[in-house]
Amino acid sequence: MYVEDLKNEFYEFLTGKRILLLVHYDIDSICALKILQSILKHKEVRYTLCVVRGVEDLKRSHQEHCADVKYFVLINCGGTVNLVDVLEPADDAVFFVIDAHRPTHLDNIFSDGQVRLLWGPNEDAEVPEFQAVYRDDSDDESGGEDEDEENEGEGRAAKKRRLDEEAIMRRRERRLWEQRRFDIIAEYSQYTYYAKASAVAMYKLAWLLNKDDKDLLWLAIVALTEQFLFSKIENTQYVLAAGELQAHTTRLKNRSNDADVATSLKISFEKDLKLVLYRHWCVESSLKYSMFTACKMKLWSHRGSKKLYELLADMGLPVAQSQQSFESMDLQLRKEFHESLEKLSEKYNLEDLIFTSFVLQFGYRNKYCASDIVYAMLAILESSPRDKPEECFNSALDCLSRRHKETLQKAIERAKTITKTLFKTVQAAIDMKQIITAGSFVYYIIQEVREYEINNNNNETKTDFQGSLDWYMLSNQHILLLLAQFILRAYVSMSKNKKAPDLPLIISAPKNLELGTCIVLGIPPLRQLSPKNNLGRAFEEAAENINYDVLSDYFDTSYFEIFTKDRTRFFDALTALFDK
Amino acid sequence: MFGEKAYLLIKELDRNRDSLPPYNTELLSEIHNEVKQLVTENQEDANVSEQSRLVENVSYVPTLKIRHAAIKRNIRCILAYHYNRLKCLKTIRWQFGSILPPEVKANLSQAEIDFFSKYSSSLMQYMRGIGDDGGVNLAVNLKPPKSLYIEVRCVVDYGQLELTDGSALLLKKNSRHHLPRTECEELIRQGVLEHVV
Repeated sequence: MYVEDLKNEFYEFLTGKRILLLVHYDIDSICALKILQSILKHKEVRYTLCVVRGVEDLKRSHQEHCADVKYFVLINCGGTVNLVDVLEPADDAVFFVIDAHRPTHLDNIFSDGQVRLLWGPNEDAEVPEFQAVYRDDSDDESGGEDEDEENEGEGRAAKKRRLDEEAIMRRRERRLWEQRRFDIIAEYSQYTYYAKASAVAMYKLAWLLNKDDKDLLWLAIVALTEQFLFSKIENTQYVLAAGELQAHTTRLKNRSNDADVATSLKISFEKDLKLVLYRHWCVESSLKYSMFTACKMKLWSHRGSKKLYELLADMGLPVAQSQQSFESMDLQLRKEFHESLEKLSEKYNLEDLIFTSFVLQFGYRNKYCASDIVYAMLAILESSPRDKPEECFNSALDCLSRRHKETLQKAIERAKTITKTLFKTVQAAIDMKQIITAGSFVYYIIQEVREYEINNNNNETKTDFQGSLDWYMLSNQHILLLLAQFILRAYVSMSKNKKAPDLPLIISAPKNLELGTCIVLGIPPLRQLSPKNNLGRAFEEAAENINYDVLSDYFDTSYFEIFTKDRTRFFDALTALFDK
Repeated sequence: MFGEKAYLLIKELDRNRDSLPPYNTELLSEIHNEVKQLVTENQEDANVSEQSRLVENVSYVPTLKIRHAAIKRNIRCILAYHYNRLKCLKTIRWQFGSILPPEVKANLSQAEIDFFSKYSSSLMQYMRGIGDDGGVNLAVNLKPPKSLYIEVRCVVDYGQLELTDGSALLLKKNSRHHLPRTECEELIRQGVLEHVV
């Protein structure tokens, strides 16, 4: 059921109650959580927080708390699964769901009040009609009974014949209806994609309640930028949403406060470059390791590096300066950096290097753009193999509050390592031709490094220890997504195959060494501009074809989890499926 | 030297700034004797001076003045000793409540114990009078709290916690909760929960 009046039916409804907040483990949900926390502080709500990484975690957390808590708020999880079936809640439990994953499960949409979705029906595209999907079975049976009573007077044989015919007709109609229903549901749920970020929706609620301020706006901005950087939404959607947030920025600007640099918090809407962390790194590294520039200029090859130096020379940037950190470059060079890159973008095939984004400034030394924060949070959430998810979650929450600057700095350093690792993985993959075409799709498998193995795997040129750090990072959802996009773009730029932009990529990375599982992700081909991903359906079908017990725990169906020993069979099944 | 024992008394108090050392009855009685002795000597010399002023020119006024100064010094030190001990006792009341831990009680004199119980009862009477419905225990928060509810993070695996309204709360390590201040304070003091700013 849709809840459109968020203020009364959600916010006021939760006053004084005891709730459980189930939060998905990603950047958008953390931002949405922070916004929700700050507006719930004004209502006497007692809440407990649980971090959820997949369907199993959701079930477990629900089980632990369902005895005492009746109201659950799910952030970025649970919209796409049938909550009532999966969780088997008590009858008076109410679930409020704010989820950016689509398509929403039909049972959640047509639920009669137990599951309440915190958005409007206009945000769910192409929902089939209620009649097409649900049918009141009791109608058939009651019809049959009436007929029985009426026909008591008739002869038994005649009655029986008539009943049989009607029964057959009814059954046939029933079969046709079910077939149609199956097709409709298959069509509705084949693509998995993302809608508006939950943090943006929460920000709108805060604005409605007049409790919004620059901090909350910044959180919404970070969530939106995350969706854009990981290509979860299209360019046009990003521009529209950024435009809305920009309107809020101008509204919240306070000229008298902003004049005092030491204590003010300023958010500005500026043009920015698609270079990773360039403000906190040196120019050469940033240009070399960012996915955008690396793929356009093929910076993993010799020719590419020479081109890079050419570009720097054209910009008038001495090599020595470009290898220093950005903050210690000459002031003049720093100011002209943007414009000189813009001017040369055409010559070096770097159009679309510029995109509009937001920059946060507080105090004299702290200037962060939204993508910096996204990468820092990604580093915290996904690149600390030794910490448990809850601890990483807490550090991520700390990193967003401006009080813990060292957390943010350390995270930015780790983000730099991640970017470098991704680049080196891609470089190795291309040099050793490990990106394999299988007819109608491209795939790449990341092997884990074992101590005694010295044969040709992708981490050959590194020492064993470093190699194991790499694949550990790559088993996490978003880093794997970044790697997949990088590899696909690199492959398309290097390949002479005309059909390369039409091929989707499937990438597999080891996930859990003890259990022997690996994670599989599929991303749509480059030529397809919309990020709608129907590979999830392909995975499910391939798994069925090889009679495999579905292990998939993720809310985003483009991720799949299988045992490493079954991987080859799985890929064979996929190839067969795609060839059809 | 006059006043040396009084100096020792003050020094002892200074050495134990935050805690109460045992009530030093012997040193106090020694100073008491010293003062008595000084007073009697002064008495005699004052009388002699009175009388001899008329007959001879013997005057012990400077000696009298010195002894008087010594007497005043001793009395001042004794008063300071008692006053500071009482101040310490009052802070103990605000920190620990109206029941004295036995090790503290062993260090007090009877008069101090009486003072403590009377102070405690008048404080309770006052606290019962303010606020509606049974009074407010001011000793819980020495500074006024900013909000009714606080966000806490669980530092150790505690298990089930029973809240005042009867429902149970599962406290696992690293879980975060938003609870009324009254429920969490005890656990924050024990170190199970940590207040998140």
